Amino acid sequence: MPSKCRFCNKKFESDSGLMMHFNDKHKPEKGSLGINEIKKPSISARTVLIAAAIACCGIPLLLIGLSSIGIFGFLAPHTSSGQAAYETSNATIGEVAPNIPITLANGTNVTLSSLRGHPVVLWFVATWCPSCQESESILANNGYYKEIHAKGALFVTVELYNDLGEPGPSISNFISQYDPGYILDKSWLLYGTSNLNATYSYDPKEYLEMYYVINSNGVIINTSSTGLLNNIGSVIQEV
Amino acid sequence: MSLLKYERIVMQMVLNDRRYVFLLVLLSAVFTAIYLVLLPSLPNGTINPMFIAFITPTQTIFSFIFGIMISLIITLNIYAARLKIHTSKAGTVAGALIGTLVNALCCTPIIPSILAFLGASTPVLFAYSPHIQAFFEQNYPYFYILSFLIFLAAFHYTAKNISCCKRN
Repeated sequence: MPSKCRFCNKKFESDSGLMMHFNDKHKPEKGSLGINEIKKPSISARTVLIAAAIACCGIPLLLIGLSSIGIFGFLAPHTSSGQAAYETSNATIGEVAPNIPITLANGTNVTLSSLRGHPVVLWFVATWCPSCQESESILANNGYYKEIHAKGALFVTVELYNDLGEPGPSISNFISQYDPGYILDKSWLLYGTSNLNATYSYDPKEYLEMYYVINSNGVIINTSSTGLLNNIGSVIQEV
Repeated sequence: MSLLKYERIVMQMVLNDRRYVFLLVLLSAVFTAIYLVLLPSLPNGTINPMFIAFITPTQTIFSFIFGIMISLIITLNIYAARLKIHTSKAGTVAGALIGTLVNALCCTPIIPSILAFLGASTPVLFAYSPHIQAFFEQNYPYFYILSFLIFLAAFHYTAKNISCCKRN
């Protein structure tokens, strides 16, 4: 099929011939304004791209917006009595950390208040969250836990209640996968699960990970939802 | 009408010049390296090369695809700019944003913060943020594909704008 130059209507048998013709006859010099006939981008092309971007961002934002006005409120967790499960006291900096029961991976039960006398790093995680898994692996295998232990502190990792409603590995599988060298009877490095009230006391906004630094008197001295690994330097200094 | 007509013509025009070939190779290497770090890092809310140890096979493949695609589009845009041909950058920006930000939407406090910004004041509303975040975690490959398609569209329209001759 012959090709035709848009500028001089000269016909060519092949694209390469047309291309060479264009380069010889019509390609503008450096600095010149160039070819007037060059097509401007079509509106429809731009519209398609913008529509794709809007669709991609808009659908999640729509879901978020609907959830913010309470459309999905009926799906929120409730206790067996039908009362909203979040009516608990929140953990705040400067206050005594709310006492919560923790069922450890080796099956024993402890309470947070029973750990007083040592500084405690309390880390809540969703076991399915990739950043929690990566952080756990790096903290365990790069000596960060040992640094915390060297300062006389305890490190307690607690799985958020029911993994915040998403399927995820159990805390035992979480340990075996990301801290394979862990010994269950280690007294300063504890892994466990807790109840719904504990999750709503310490992580009311349902961040996928949340940590607290608690001093030896049981008072919260720092907390953040921006990732334990990102703040590990300051956490080690604070304990 | 032959398939990929504009793309073939423009690639021949651009890649005839060794400077553009060099630019394309250089940009591809740089952007692929950036994506290899960026994609596994963003769930952690920080950019750190140590997270490359956790890159998934899907992220590895798409790091190369994104790196090459974005370099190709940038190279064509530079070529177009030298010819004073106007091209739209919206597709490139949209593709790059979607492909990278989807990972950050999973595990960082972005979604809970957006909920807070939108006026959510009770934990009932926040109860949905883990599900939204899990949605992005489980479905990020689809967003990568969408991002790739947007890059492809951007490449097509850039090539179409540059190619000035048509076949009758």
